[in-house]
Amino acid sequence: MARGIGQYIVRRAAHALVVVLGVVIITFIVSHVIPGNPAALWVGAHPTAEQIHRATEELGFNQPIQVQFYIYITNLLRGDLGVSIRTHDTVLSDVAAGLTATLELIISAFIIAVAAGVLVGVLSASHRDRVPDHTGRLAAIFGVSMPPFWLAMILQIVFSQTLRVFPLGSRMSTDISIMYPLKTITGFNLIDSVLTLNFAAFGDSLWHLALPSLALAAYPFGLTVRMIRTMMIEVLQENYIRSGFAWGLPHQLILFRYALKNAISSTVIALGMSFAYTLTGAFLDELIFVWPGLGTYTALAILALDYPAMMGSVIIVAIFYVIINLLVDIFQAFLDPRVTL
Amino acid sequence: MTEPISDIVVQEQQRFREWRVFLKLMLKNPLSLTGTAIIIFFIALAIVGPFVAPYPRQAEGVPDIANQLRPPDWEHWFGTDELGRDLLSRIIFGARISLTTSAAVVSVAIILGMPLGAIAGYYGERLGAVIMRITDMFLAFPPLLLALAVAATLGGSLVNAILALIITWWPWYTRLAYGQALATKNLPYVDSARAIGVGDARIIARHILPATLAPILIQATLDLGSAIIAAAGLSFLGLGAQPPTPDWGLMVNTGKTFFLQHWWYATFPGLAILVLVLGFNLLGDAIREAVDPKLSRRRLI
Repeated sequence: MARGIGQYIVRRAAHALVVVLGVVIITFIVSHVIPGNPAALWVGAHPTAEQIHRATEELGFNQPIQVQFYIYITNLLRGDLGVSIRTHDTVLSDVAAGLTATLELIISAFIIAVAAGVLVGVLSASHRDRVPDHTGRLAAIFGVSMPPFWLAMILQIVFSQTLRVFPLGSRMSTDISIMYPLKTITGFNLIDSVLTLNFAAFGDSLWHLALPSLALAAYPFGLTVRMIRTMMIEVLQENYIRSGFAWGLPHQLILFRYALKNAISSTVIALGMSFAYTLTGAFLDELIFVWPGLGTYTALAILALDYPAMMGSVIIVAIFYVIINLLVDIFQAFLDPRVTL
Repeated sequence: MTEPISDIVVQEQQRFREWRVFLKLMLKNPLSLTGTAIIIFFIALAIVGPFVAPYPRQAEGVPDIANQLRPPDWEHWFGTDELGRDLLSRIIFGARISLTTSAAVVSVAIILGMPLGAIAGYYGERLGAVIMRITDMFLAFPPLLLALAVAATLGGSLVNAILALIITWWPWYTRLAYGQALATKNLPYVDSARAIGVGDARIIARHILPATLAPILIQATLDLGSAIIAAAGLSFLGLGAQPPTPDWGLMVNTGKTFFLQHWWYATFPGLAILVLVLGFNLLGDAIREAVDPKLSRRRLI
């Protein structure tokens, strides 16, 4: 069986490589082939004729398409994503700078969504067609129907503006970051502050993380509830579960230990999908909460017509996403070796 | 090749019974009824909007500078925006934009994606593999990201946003139709059609495509809601409808500048998005539950 999994991983990784190539090709088509004047987009808003001319030369837009693709792909392999018009830094360094902030946000939103989603999903399935189920399903449907950027703004109005219990945005308060400066080790504020025993910064970071991650968690929460509920309803009709109840085993034990375990493959799929949605949800969420991550960077790039920055972060996020999917598939193969067949 | 009449009658009776059970389930379910009511309400608004909106001219963009940013009151139920325009009227006009946008995205994506998936599943081998690999490449982008890139390249406009969303949406239907076609293509009735010499094109059109229709329609109901949110997200970044269009996403976007002092501006257009999307999701969920034998077993007995 171990050999089967090894082969599966190789096969799946090869597939992922093909998909990454596809992502590169599609991004190339979008940025070089779609009608419009890419050179003009590349130099930013209000270009002069001379700037456009220079960009056309530099980026090789006047050359045959296969030559353009060659230039594009060699630049990419060297990690050269161009220079941002807005920040005047290389896109790669900008993206690297924003990545940990985004990951911190996404991971905490993901944890909220999954923890709440699995709990509500299991309770919903076990109390089918009764009050907890109706409440849970309604919450799930609201979660997936909510425009994420709007939810973010409503949370700001309620919790920052009116109740004043959470900050409006950003990653840390200015006074805390001056009085208790945080040493960057991993780039994750929560981890760095624990490592340096800087508990003021830890609390402050957590406090700033609350609203943005809550807003971001709504959609994946709904998704997780739906998938877990559907799967659990099927599993709960199995004989071994019914005999568990007949034996008088504690309900929690049956639900979370035996039933959830056999709903695991769809649980993993639910987690993978949730992660995907938190990834793109972060784009608008970060912009609203002034979170200094990749999402704000991309959104500001779009608003400022900063074309190199935009395409650069699109390709990075897409590749990142392919890798996540690969990991989810491999993880699933370990949990349920049948998928390797 | 004619079947005995009695068999056809039995089949039809059974079909009719299935439909009746389905309808009964849908009518008994408060969630599906609520969803349907919401959708009908918004469709009605989209049709009669210009006649019921209190300030139709403002909805089309004519400003009323004397009444800037008024909070909700009897005259302006949802308040006014930064140009003094009645938000209720603009939201009513926006129903038409949202519904047509999402209908356009979903229907074109189905028209493109479904036949491709059916062809890929039916022929399999090389052609199928090529089609599905290309589909996989499009699916490799996280949702909304590719649409962002395409819309930004094409430039912000409602038509470009619709185009961008179609480009990202069709592969989902291809994959759905592909799975369905794989499951159908060797069923006895398809085999017998092939055996009596029916052409491939006709088999795909008459036997494979209809079999893919049910799951695709369920998905489409849910997608009509998702497309509204996606289009609103693009508008929110300035990549969708442009002012003075009364587009909900655009209104939330403009309202963002004012909303901490003027809460009503962004709140009501966003609420409109939420309620309409909720309608599609309630209906889609109810249909899915009613047709899924595993989920509805207990209710049917």
